[in-house]
Amino acid sequence: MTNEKTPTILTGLLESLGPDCLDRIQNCRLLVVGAGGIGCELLKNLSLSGFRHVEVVDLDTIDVSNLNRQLLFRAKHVGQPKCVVGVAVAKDLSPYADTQMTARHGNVCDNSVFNVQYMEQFDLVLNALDNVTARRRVNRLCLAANVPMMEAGTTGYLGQVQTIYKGVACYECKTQEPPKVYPICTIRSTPSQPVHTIVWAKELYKLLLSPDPSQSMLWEDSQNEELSTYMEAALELRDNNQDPDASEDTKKTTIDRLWKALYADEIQKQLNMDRYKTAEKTPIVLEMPTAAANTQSEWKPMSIWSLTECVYEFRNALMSALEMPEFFDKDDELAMRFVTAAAQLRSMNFHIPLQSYHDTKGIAGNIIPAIATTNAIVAGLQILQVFSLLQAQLANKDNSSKLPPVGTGKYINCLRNATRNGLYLAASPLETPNPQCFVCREQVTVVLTLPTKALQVISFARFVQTIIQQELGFAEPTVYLNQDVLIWEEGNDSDEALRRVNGVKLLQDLPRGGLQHGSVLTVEDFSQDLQVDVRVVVVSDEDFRRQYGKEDDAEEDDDADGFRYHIGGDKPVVGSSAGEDDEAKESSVDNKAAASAVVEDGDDDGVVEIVEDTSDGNKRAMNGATGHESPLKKQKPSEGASTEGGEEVIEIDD
Amino acid sequence: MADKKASDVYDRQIRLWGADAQAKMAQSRVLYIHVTGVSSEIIKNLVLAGIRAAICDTRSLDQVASTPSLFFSVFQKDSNDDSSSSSSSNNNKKKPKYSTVMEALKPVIEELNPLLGECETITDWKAAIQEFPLIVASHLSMADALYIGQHKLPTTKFIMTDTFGLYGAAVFDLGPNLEFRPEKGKDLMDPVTLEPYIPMDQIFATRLSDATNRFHKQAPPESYWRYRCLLEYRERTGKWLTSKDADVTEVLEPYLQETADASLQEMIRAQLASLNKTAEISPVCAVLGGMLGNEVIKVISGKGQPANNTVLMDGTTCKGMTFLVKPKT
Repeated sequence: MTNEKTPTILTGLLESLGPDCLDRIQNCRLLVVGAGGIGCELLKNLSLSGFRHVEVVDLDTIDVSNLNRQLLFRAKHVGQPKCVVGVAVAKDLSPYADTQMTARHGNVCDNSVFNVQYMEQFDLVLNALDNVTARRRVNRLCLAANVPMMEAGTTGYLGQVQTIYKGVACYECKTQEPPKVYPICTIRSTPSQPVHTIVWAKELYKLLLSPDPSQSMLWEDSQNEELSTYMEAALELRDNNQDPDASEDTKKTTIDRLWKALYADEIQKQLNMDRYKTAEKTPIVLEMPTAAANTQSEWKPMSIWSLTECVYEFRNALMSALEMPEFFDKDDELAMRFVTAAAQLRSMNFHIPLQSYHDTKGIAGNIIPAIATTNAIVAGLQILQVFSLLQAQLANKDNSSKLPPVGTGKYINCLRNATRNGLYLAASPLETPNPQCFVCREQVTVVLTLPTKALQVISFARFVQTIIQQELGFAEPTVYLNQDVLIWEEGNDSDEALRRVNGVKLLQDLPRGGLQHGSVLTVEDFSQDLQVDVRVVVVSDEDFRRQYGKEDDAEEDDDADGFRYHIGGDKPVVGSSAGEDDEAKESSVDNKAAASAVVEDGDDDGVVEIVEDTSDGNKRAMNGATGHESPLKKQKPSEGASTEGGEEVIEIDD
Repeated sequence: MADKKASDVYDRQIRLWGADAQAKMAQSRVLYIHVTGVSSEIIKNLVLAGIRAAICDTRSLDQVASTPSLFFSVFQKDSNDDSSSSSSSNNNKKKPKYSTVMEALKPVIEELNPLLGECETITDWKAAIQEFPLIVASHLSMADALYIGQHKLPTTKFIMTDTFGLYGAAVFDLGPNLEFRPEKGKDLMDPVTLEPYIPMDQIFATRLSDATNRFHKQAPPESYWRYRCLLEYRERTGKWLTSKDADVTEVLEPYLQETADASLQEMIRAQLASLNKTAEISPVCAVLGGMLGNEVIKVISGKGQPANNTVLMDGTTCKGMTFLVKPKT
């Protein structure tokens, strides 16, 4: 094999990097995680650069909106798995007939397949992901498996590339920007921005169409003394949808009743209760247009719909409710039309600027646009980083480790507007690890502050889910209390009875006197080769509120179900920004900390997710992960998501 | 219906640069003179984004055998088959034979974005330069570049670009009075004119020792002086420098004498041995091609400040920049 003639298209590599490096390139075993915008670019470059051992993991299928940038895909491929098509097409670009490219259609967060042992097969991992959860996951697996990784992300015109291995800062060394938080009463009663009514419309969708309507923020229990006017019609509509014999007329009547309850009666009722006495603008009670359109209105995705058009779309979608997916999907046109109409009608109630279908989709699907050029740049930079890593290993002459000498590699920002000294690509040395990061440093203790009340009302199962799994990102945690008492176990052959027994206990009722000030929880996860001590600090509710409370937007109700906590130090948390302010980002190149938090990701559409709801006295916990979304796209709450009573968290991400 | 399809395909980018910019892109057309690794990347980026391409490249396929390009590989495999006589016999059965690069590429580019229809091929670019609002050229001599600079319409934008080993460079002639709207965050400012405008002949006439600024006090960035030397070699020998050529020092010595002060001459001489490593490398093409794609979109949409008057890329440091080459007055 070594005597084989070098293919002519690799002349450039041979000249500029030398035969030894080219040899490494050919023998290097690479894993590419993600076959979307960045992934396609990577696969093309890898083939054209003579890499011969490449495996690709991706769980997604090809969508029409991918075709403007994911160069390996054509219209005929829509609906097929990205990794399968990507590998088939990219393999054809290779100058070698025997290049091994393997597609793995699956979720990299699936621990049964993609674990530390799996990662150990590879010399290098290239990330081409679009969400934080999977990035954290790959970060941990690579650190545990001692495999270097090239992380990359884009948001519109902006992008960044970072080399990660033991000895330099890992992906989780930096706290991500906290997500946006909207008080729930804003969504339910006092919306003031388009996003508020769009979130409301998605909750309405959930109330009307999801298998479990109680998961909707608009749901009210029938025991509630003062039921909102829309509940009855909503339930009736659900019954109609279940009933194969329900006539068109019955449906139509119910839909109109629902419409009237939502946009007229409920508003009027609130007005009568003087709810909006102090509001800047008094909400408007909508009137059903008399000449309601019964004809198909012209398809106008880019312009604002009139009241009549909105009513038509609202009715039309609900008449065909059975054709809509159970869970809202921005790529389902009918579902999207319904959410657009429902949101715009509510915006009319509250004097909120109206949005087109196109713009509503952007907000509802939380789409951060990705483009071909930026993806091409970051993927190219990733491969150039691979070259310098291989060269450093060659120079080091140490074959015992896959890790390069510390200092190899760069952190590179890709910018829309040049910096003062003309840079579009600004490269800087990799940072040293954050000493507080429990992911890449050993023996780090995380300080968790809880108000007294949390011990009295929070179950241990919820604690594990919120703190240990979501916040700290453990996949299969084993938890010891005060070093020696095993209180929780997950994963293969784990003790389910233990989880059953302790899961329902309140924190204060855990074994040996329960969780209290000074308790230490030792959390292990073999699937990530990770361990951390969580030291518990308990303060009075008043002190907690003073230290960590936000101004209480809401409401009188002091929801007992609200889980409030604070995690100390620079521990890595999830969450991200949504490209809010390009200016701020681009001017902060010199400030790497700021710049790095910026570009989260990129490639594709995400979800506006309601992560936690502790709403209105109904005492129910809701995890609003929209169930149809792939787990890869699921986002989790961050530090900022510590919820106060009556607050919900909406994460704008991806 | 076609519009609906287009808005689905271009959905993400319309969210970024707006429907008005997309409409301008749909109206525009780029002429690519010579398709190289880096221009393949520009074509890929812009054709996917909805900007129509016309190509002019009458070279034969074996002249581009060392070019890493997603468009060429299928043809390159053919010519390499002598080395791997083993498999792929059924792949060979009906590969059409093309006599020029542009004939071979036409169907490949058309397939990349069927919404754009035909990819025009141009045999004589000199006769066509006034028909295109934008021209991107690679592997072009300075004489030809100057010809374009003199004969194009003042509004025509002209970019000349190449990558060579780990380096890449592009020189811009965007015409006098190029208007654009600067961006401040998400806000668009009122139009301003890009200044200063340096026509291509003046860029080339600038001595390397004069092509400095406060961030590059002693010498221009390495990618720039390398590119300028390669163009000079081409001008003096009539051929593009490759690793087969060993006469770089002799050929370039007179140029160094006239273009550089003593210290810069010395610095460049020390690097001349590596100047002939000019074969293209895929990721270098991808990075520069992406940067230039962004610049073209800025220029067509009129949004954002375009580079003036070079874009340079150094794969050894992973830095990319714009740099103004301006004669000393």
